[in-house]
Amino acid sequence: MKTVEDILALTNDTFKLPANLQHDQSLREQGLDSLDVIMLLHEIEVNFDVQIPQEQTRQLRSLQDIVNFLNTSVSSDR
Amino acid sequence: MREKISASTVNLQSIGVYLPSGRASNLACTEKFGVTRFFLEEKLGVVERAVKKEEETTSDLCLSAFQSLQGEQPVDLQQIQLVAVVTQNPDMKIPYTAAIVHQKLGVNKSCMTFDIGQGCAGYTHALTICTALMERLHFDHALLFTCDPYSNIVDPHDKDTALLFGDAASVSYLARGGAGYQLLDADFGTAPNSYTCLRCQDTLTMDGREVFTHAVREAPKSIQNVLTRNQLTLADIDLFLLHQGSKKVVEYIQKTLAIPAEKAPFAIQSYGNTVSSSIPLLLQEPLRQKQHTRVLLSGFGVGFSWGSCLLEFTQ
Repeated sequence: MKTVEDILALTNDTFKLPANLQHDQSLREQGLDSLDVIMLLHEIEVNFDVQIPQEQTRQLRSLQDIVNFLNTSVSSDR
Repeated sequence: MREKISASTVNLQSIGVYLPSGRASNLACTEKFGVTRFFLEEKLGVVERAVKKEEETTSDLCLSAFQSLQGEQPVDLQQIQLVAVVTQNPDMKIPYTAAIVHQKLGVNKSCMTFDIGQGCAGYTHALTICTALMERLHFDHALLFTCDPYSNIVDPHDKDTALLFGDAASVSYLARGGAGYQLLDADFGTAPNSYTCLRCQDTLTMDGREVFTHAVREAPKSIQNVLTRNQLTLADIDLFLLHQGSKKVVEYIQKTLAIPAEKAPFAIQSYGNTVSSSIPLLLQEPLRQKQHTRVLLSGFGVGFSWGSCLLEFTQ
């Protein structure tokens, strides 16, 4: 099971998430811009070995949305 | 490893560039597109966009680039055996733009002319094609133009593209018997099922996420491919000139490769992403200054395609 902490731990030399992100609040409303979201989704694809379909991205608004997607994606792959 | 230099190698000897003086301010568009100054300066990396005059055509911009080249290194048009134009924005559907440039410049009759309909990787493709042709057919002098005035095709209300692109042209003079950069090797690729990420029927559309993902995935691999084939490491390269897609994409690739930021410059804040001209615009000054022994070019974008060229300065 992936958690929000797993996503927050993706911060590295090339990609940084702001501190104190609310888990259930929209990332865009918390100040992330379109490029931040693109980079976050890329980091998730690379680090968690998943593919996020383009049509899915609009539904991934918050960290919790992303966690739910990852856990559904992992369980449906099994 | 490719064969080393002989006395008659084809070298990139000089570059002429043209940036129209017209500018459109992105800062004036922050409210319209809901973006911040920080986003424009630090993420996109484009504060102003170079915009040509409406009546200026692709061939006109190419001619202006040629005037700049004449200031760098006078070129005898009667010796030119090849004129190639990299563009997806021809003056008209028929004929191809190189024929128009050939006529406007008054180049001699014994000259091959063609367009290359590539995009952001167009310069790396064309440099390789022209060098290979010159070597195979024993040409001594060629002019390679790039020009993609996207102001003709961008929807000014489309947030994904309206703030990014600028107009420009360049011309590279390739010849034997003079100092310049020799193309040692190159690497190319095209991602399957990806051509829709950047396309234009009436106006340009871009899937920013797909473009970014392909760019940061493929460009570093392509650069490593060229280095490995030539038994070189990243430390052996003096300068990396990456297609100036956006500040973030250049920064991301630079950090992925763990190369110093000063070796992978980003310099389009005042004119924008000039597509096929972005790399030659950056290459003009190092070539003029003869500062760097080995330069690696990496273009990526429309297609989605990419190309990386390894250059070495030779006397």
